[in-house]
Amino acid sequence: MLQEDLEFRISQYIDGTLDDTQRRALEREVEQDPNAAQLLAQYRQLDRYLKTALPLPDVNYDALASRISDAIDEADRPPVLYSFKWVRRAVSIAVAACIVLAGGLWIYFNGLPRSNGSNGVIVQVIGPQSEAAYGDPVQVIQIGPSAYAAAGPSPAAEALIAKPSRLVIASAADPVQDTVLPY
Amino acid sequence: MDPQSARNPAPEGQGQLSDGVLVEQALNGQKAAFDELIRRYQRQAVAVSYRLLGNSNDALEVTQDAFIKAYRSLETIQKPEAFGGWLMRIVSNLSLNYRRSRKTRAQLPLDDLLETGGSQRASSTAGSEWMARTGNPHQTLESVEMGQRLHEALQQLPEKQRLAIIMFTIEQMPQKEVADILGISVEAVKWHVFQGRKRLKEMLKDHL
Repeated sequence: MLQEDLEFRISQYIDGTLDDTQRRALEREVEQDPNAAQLLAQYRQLDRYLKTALPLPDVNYDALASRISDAIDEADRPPVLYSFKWVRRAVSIAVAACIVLAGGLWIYFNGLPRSNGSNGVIVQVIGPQSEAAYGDPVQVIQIGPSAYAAAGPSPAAEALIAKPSRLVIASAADPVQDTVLPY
Repeated sequence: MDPQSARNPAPEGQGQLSDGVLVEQALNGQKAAFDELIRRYQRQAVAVSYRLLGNSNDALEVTQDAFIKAYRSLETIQKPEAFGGWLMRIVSNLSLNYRRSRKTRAQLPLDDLLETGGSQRASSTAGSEWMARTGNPHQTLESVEMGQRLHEALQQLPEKQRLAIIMFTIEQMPQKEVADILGISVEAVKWHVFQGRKRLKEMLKDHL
């Protein structure tokens, strides 16, 4: 701490910011204390280096002043607004052409969209139709839930109940042995 | 007379006018008054910026930017008499920002502003620019090396200590002005200068 205080006073001594009393006290201390004298010599040497070993570049200051002044004038000038009307028009035309071209290509590859105003049948499929059974059932198969499941509160049972609960296999012909075919 | 001076005739006896009067005149549209402020402070601005950046082209560019910024915000200056300190604050802030970003900017053609001899120009193209473009051709190799070491040591100091050393010790600006620029008290300037010196002494102990 004492060393720190001594060095701080030496620093101010070099800068000439100590008052007369402090300055004289330090000078006496330096005369009597070799450590203080050595520190003062080191700080003085450092100060000399700081003031002489870092020279500035040679600058043409007249030219620099003119350049700065011109740069200020340039920066101060109101911005020039250029009109790009023709560019805007050209861009609009190009965009419109692109849209027309894209539409044409889509129609070429996909055809015109058709619409009858509703989600009606586009393709009618005529296929085999079931015939109404007219004989007695050959066999009745129960495919619904068991009576127990149907009666219970299980949600799975409800799903099963919603499905067809019965499949009837009927035949219009009398049962025959396949080994005794009529042909 | 240059075209700018012709457009804005310089006030009579401008060289003797105080900074405050020149600021007022510049605010009233007399560009020549601001040109006088440029002439007064450009060297100090280049010096502070150069010592912070270590590159003359960067320092010139920052100096130019600082004056443009000062001109544009001149109406915000609170103490026109303290224009120099206000400008140095702009210079130091721009330099520190420039140093932090170290962005690669398109170099302005500023070489013509640097007055160099052929051999000096050749030496400046390699490595650090320190000492390469100086006005003292008799500088010894020893002092060139010392300058490089000192520059490197300065760059390692904390910002406030570095600025205090550069402005007060090297540029010998008044302590009060340095205090205003750094936004600290005069006592704090003394302390930062001392702390900076102490660190430099440790870093350069083999040379002291």
